[in-house]
Amino acid sequence: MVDPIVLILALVVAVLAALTVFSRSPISSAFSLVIMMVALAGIYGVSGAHFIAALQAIVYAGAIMVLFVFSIMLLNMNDEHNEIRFGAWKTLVACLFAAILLGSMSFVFLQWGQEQNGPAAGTMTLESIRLLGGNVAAVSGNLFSQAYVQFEFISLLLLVAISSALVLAKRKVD
Amino acid sequence: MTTGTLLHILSAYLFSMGILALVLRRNTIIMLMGIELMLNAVNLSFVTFARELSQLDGQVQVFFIITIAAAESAVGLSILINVYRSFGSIKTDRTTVLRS
Repeated sequence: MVDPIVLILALVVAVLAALTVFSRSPISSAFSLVIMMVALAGIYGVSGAHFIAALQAIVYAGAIMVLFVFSIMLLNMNDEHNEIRFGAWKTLVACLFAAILLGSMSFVFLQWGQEQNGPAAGTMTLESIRLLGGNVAAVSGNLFSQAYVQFEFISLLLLVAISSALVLAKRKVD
Repeated sequence: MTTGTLLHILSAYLFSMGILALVLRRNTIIMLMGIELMLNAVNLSFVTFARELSQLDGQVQVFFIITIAAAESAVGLSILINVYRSFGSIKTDRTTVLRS
């Protein structure tokens, strides 16, 4: 039923996500998040989304997390204790609400999975993607035909983000 | 339980963990990591739905989400460094005034 590789990778992702949230020092949280993103890229690769797997490994685990690790090193937070915000009682209540959220979303997803009985809705099965020349060719064909306006706006957004980050970094604080 | 259902439950778990990171921690960098966790949860959900419904639109949306996450973390971390320069700390209980 469940692919064993996916099961192992999902266990790794689950444990490392919990370590990210609950570990004491920010640098160990950041490194758990890096390994979690690499394992998530493995899940994407096994699921057939090869382009997304490569993007996850390059952009998330490579670029974004390096930015996080560098800011942690730049901010030099060794002397600060990064404890949990509330006492034990409120922490327990917050965990209870998160568990309720997880339970309700899992219920919805399980019910949705039981309703899917007939043939799949779309036409892009694994076989037709292979006939189109692989996942990367199929996704980029979709990207540059149906979604090219969004693609241009996203490039504009990246330009704005770069210039705003530059302005924020150069600003003098008095 | 199929592989798709397992991945959906994993994405729900990642989303709850991101919310816990936002609510419980007082370190702003870990709160930003919680936002990244939630974005990853949504990406996983998109990819799983795209595979189960035999469509590619979900993967295209994941491309856009990853781009927006990169822009968001760049701007957020530069704001964070400015906060550290003016307050000397990035904890949420130290940064209490908006203008000084």
